[in-house]
Amino acid sequence: MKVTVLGVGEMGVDDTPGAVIKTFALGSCVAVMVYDLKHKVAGMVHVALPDSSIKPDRAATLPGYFADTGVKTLFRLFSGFRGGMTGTRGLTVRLAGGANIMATHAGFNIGKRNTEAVLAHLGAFGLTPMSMQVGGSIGRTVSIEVDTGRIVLSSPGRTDSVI
Amino acid sequence: MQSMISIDEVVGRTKLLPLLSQSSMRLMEIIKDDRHTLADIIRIVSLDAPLTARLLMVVNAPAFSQSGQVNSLSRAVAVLGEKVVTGIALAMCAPFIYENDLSGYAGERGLLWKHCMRAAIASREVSRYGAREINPDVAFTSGILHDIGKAVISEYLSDMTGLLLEEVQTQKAADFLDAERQALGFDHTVLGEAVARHWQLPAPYPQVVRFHHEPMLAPEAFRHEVFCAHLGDLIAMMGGTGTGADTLLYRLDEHFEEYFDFPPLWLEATLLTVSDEYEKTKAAFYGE
Ligand SMILES: [Fe+2]
Ligand SMILES: [Fe+2]
Repeated sequence: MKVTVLGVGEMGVDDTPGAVIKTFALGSCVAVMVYDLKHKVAGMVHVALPDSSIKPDRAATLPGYFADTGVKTLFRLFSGFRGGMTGTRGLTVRLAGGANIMATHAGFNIGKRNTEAVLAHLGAFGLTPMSMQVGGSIGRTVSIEVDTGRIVLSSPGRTDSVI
Repeated sequence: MQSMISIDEVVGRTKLLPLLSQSSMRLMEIIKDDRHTLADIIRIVSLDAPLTARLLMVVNAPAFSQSGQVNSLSRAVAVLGEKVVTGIALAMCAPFIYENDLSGYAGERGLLWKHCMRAAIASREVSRYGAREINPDVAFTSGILHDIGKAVISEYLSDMTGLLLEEVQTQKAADFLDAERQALGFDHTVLGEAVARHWQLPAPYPQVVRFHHEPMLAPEAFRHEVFCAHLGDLIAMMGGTGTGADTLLYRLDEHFEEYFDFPPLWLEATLLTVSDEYEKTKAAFYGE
């Protein structure tokens, strides 16, 4: 079985039967997962920060690092797997991550701001996530299966869940 | 819950732990002193053959992408930096701490080292913004040491991890530290301080270990360093590098702003730098 592991800021799209895309230990980072049921294509991007303006040269080499450039580039990559179809019809999106430490301090809510930024950029494509497991104070490892679009979440000390 | 184990008994057991190696003690001491030179570091390391071998191995890992082999110790020390060298020295002489499987946290072997390394890098980054001058080397070592108590408390927490998580989630405990206290009557910071005292670590390290979750309780003189470890710890967890089930389940002490002059967007910038530095260091360690 082919398992592609994404590091921070990396993204992947795959249509290989049986393949899985996975990313480990999301803290305040957000994983955006996109699935095309008809063409059986799965994609994921591991977003670390809300906005690329903080480090444009990083956005150029690793667009997945930021919500704005990450969402855009993931859809561009995705269209290549759907015969060049650029629209987002037939795509479902799910999110995981965006956790926070136990604090009310606004500056520290990077997880929340990551989630909000991802939602805003998805909205620009006319998309709202089908489901999300975001926020809270919990580290998450997440994977998506190409065959089914099934997403499995795991966290140390807790039982796995499917979204 | 379960019958309480006495704190004296557990602290007594920390006194049976092996002491730190001569070289790591000397390195910790010397990097605190502003007058030290690279030659001082090299002299200490050169007396420790296993440490020298390990440094040469790490520095020749592909991640450091040096042009050609690094054969000399002096170049290895120059390339790695004295802080990383000190960190490696500590990890090598205290495998019973840093190689602990952290079963009480549903962690795994190697996780404590990764978490402490990431917290150390973050603590050093944060130290740049101190409202008074903070020695970045001390801030780094503070991060390396902050959670040594987890390795000792872990076995007493096994089988209770799920229960402790529930206590925090249902707000019966304020955070994971409080959950440890409620379950055992002591927590990883108290045991960590006992280990630090047993190792005869100089100030501010015992204080950092003891107060890294409650910085305002630390003696005023060490509070800046304690806050560095406090923030470094949280930043490491935000980056996804915790020690298991307790990841992110700790509180931020908002008094931190009194001890630093942070520019706007410092946290975003710090998360980015820390992530890059950590990946580089990790890759070197594991030869990835
Ligand atoms: Fe801790
Ligand atoms: Fe920690």
